[in-house]
Amino acid sequence: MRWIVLAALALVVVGVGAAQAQPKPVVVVQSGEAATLDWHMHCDKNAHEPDRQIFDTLLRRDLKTLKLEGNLAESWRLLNETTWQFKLRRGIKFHNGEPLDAAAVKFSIERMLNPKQGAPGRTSIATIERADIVDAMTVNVVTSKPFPLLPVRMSPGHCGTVGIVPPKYIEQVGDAGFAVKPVGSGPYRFVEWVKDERLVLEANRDYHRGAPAIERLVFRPVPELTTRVAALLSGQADLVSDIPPDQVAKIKASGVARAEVSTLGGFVIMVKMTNHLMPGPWQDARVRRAINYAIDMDTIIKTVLEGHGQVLGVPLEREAFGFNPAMKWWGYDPERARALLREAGYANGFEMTLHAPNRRYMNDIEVMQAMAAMLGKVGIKATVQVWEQSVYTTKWRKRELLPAYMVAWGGAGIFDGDLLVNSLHSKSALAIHKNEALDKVLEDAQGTNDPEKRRALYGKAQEMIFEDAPIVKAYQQAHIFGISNRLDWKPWIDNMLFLYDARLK
Amino acid sequence: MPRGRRTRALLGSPGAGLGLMAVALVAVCALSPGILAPADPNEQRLLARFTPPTTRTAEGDLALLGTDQLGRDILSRVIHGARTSVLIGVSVVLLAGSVGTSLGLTAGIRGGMADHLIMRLADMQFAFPFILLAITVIGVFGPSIRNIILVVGLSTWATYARVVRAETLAVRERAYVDAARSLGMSVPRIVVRHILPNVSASLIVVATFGVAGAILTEAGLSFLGLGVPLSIPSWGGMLAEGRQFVDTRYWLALSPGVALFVTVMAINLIGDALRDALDPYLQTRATVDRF
Amino acid sequence: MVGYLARRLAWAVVLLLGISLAVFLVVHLSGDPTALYVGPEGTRADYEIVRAALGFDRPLPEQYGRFLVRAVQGDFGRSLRHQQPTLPLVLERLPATLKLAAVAMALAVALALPLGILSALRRNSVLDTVAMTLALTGQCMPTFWLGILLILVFAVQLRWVPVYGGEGAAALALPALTLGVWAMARTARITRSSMLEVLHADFLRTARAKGISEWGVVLRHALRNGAIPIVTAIGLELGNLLGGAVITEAVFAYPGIGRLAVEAVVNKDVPLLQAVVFTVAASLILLNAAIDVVYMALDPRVRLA
Repeated sequence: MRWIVLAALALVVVGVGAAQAQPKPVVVVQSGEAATLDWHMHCDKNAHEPDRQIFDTLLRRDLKTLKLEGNLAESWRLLNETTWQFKLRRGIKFHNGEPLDAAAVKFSIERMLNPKQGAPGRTSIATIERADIVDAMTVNVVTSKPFPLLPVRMSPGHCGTVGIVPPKYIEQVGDAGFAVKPVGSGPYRFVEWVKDERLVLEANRDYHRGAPAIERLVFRPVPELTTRVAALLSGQADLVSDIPPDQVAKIKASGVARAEVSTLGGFVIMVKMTNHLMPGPWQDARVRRAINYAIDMDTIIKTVLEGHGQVLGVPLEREAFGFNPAMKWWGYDPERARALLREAGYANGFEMTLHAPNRRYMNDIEVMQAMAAMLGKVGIKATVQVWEQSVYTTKWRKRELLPAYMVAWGGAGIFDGDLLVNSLHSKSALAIHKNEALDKVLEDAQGTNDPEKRRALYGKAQEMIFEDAPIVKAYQQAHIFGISNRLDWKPWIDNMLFLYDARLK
Repeated sequence: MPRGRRTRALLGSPGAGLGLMAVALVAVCALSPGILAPADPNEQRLLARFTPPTTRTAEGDLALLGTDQLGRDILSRVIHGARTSVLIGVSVVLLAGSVGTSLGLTAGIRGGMADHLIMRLADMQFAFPFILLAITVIGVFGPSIRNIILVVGLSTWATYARVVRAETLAVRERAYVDAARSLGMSVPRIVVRHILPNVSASLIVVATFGVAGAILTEAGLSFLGLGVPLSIPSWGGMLAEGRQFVDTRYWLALSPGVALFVTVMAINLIGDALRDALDPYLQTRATVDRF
Repeated sequence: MVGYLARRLAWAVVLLLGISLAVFLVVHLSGDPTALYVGPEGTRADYEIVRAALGFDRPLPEQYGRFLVRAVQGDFGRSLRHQQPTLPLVLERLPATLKLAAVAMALAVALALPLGILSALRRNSVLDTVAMTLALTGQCMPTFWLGILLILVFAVQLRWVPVYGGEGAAALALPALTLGVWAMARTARITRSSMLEVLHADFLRTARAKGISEWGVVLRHALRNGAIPIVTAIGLELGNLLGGAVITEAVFAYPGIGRLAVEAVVNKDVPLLQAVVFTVAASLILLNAAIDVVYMALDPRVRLA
């Protein structure tokens, strides 16, 4: 038996020796793995992070001013209310040498629009009717009605935005081949993908803005948070996103890594309440306002999120077009909450369930538990029901998370009042509240390209939301990144990992 | 073995003595957590989060074992958590034990096709890592104490069935059952009078290990986010929630970890002693399902 | 022998059918998974399109029937999430998990057998007490907890091994230890008690009387006779090992089938889950059949029924 023990020990020793490898690539540790790398075919943060390095979009946002600027397109303009023209930059090629021309842009847009393709982000651009090739470097995008958000949908965002893909290559390898071996025109090119282990990219020397400084990028899925942090502290990982606030001190003290916070355009998190899908006290706007006054969101953010967030009121990023910074939202006023409850006939309180996701947002469960405890202080007996991810998603689709549930919007670089449509228009997939007057205002804002009209309409919408209180006051969550000391990089928005400007110190 | 010697063998083992004491303490906590716990286990004091053990909180109360990420009193949560662990451990064993015993008896007494079917069902359970089914069922129906008991209970009955069947076959072959049958005793009476008393020793041993296994299983489910709901304090849940603090705020996971470890160890010690005292031949058959 | 294996195979098919039906029903009882595959801004109409495309608009018996017809031909359908055939997805991860389980088991047996035998020979000695306390300790720790502690000590503090990944043994050291501890503890304890039982048997007394050395007695006679319960225990541990892999793989970011299983459950990816479950059950059935063969080799008296 002894030789077995010795052999096992020897193996371990040999293995330890082998672990000390040569100069390491930059390792990005993710919480999960992409299922497909085809930009058009997912709504998955873990797939978007590598895809954003592989692919490129017509426009991009200046990371400081947030203004849209040209990227693959050098210019764009509105020809008439329903036609946008994009002029492409010359000489750009996909990683396989295929030219990036008007045909590729037309192909990309229409591929996403094609219902048979089944692109999950199709709805977001469904107002587009078609793309016309004017000449090799010019495309006209025609919409069925005014579509003010079109330029935003042509810049890097989440699944409702159009990444430009190579038509010939896709024809050659098919959708299934493209999903596992993508070709784009972004700053990094695909090298290899070993499922559940590593996804390797290398610098694209011919990138149109100049080659990136980092030679090799490795994306690595690590489901367990403690393991991700351990990897960062042991020098195995260079970049870890979604760090909970309680880990910050440890990372800072480690001497090998630092924690950086991005406060820009993070998730806008809200608890939605229904007024028509389930009978109960919450159908009364006074009760919904009382719930808002009962919750001390500042304290929750200060303690549970350790300051990594900001109370907003309306579910709209501060940076978003149409956000009204002058609005005063519901403060913390338990007396007023009790008075409103008495007025509505619920002096003795009532019971309600708050549905919470399981670790989808920063300390989400704790935030909900803290809210429930605060509601208890004004007589509302609230219980928090936590659901596993897939069940939560299924149930919110079916509008079964009643009477109230937590959800986030934003964090995708859209920066527009249009976000209110997704969170509050009664026809949106996730809405459980109905306010026809609000619906009308939001539709009007979608129907015009005139910025001043839109700004006025979103201002009006915010006032209506304040009266109607369809949500518990929203807050914007900051994102914390753990970054190894050898990596020189600043986070922008959590969902928008741009590693083009990263470099090694 | 005569009863007197059994008892002495059980109490004579120092491990079992310690185990009994620990289990008694857990049982007291489980039966009357409200009396023992200094505070409401779910009461949050957000301004007193992460108070270290034996220090006073910002509000001046003494938190003997510290407070957690929501400022809840850990000692109170550990005491109330005993109830959850005991409830799950005992219910799982009762469920698995009664299903397994009935099926094992049926197989042993009836023989033939029934025996064959039941034993193949048992094989199926052994041949399949039940955690896959457990995460599916709990993921789909939502985590609740009831669902956990059902899933863990229904996936661990096979051990009981095998033990009971084997013992039943052995007993059936002994002369006195034949004698009873020839005297016209009905099958249920034979079961109650002759077979059950003979298998009870083995069952008790299997059940003891079953309790320990169920408590560990609950902890594993908590790690996957499929443990008992958060409003109910449980050791597994506390351990899973505390894991990210293990090197910064050790006390969040230390107390539930120690409670769980000591309890499972105590039950195992008692199980060992029981096995030595009651049924020395059982040792290779008893198995505890866990992951 | 051949007849026995044929019967065994027939039962395996029945068993797999039962398991696949259970998985199918459980997932569908909570409603179909369409919602997970529509974009967050998708409308009701999009939902219906996707639902039809995935075939979830058909009646349940028809869906299951279609699955069976294809499964018989070795086609477990396309993964909803990966949009690719499921079986290759599973098979490319299976070797990693089998390797992890095999190393864990080898580690467990390599440590457990000497410990168990020594403990039995030196019953009630300090060594016996320490070994059995260690074994008991191993049995009282939740897997995830042990894994996290090992990472913090050996990968973060001491930096002897990487947190995850690495080449060869370095990649396997911590996960295999974590996964193997339970099997090691149980095997050590069973080896000890089984050896104790045999050491007092008459034939050993005869052997000793013949002047065979004590170690000779142990290795040549006692171990051979005590081996059957030990092999039984190892066989029973296999299922536990593959189950335990779900948690071990999650803790160590190990690229195996356990993680795929959790991913399939989380995404309600029914075809993928079916393929995982089928593959795991089939591997276990094969392994258990292999163990029966080992039984026969160990003891010709064992009849396969």
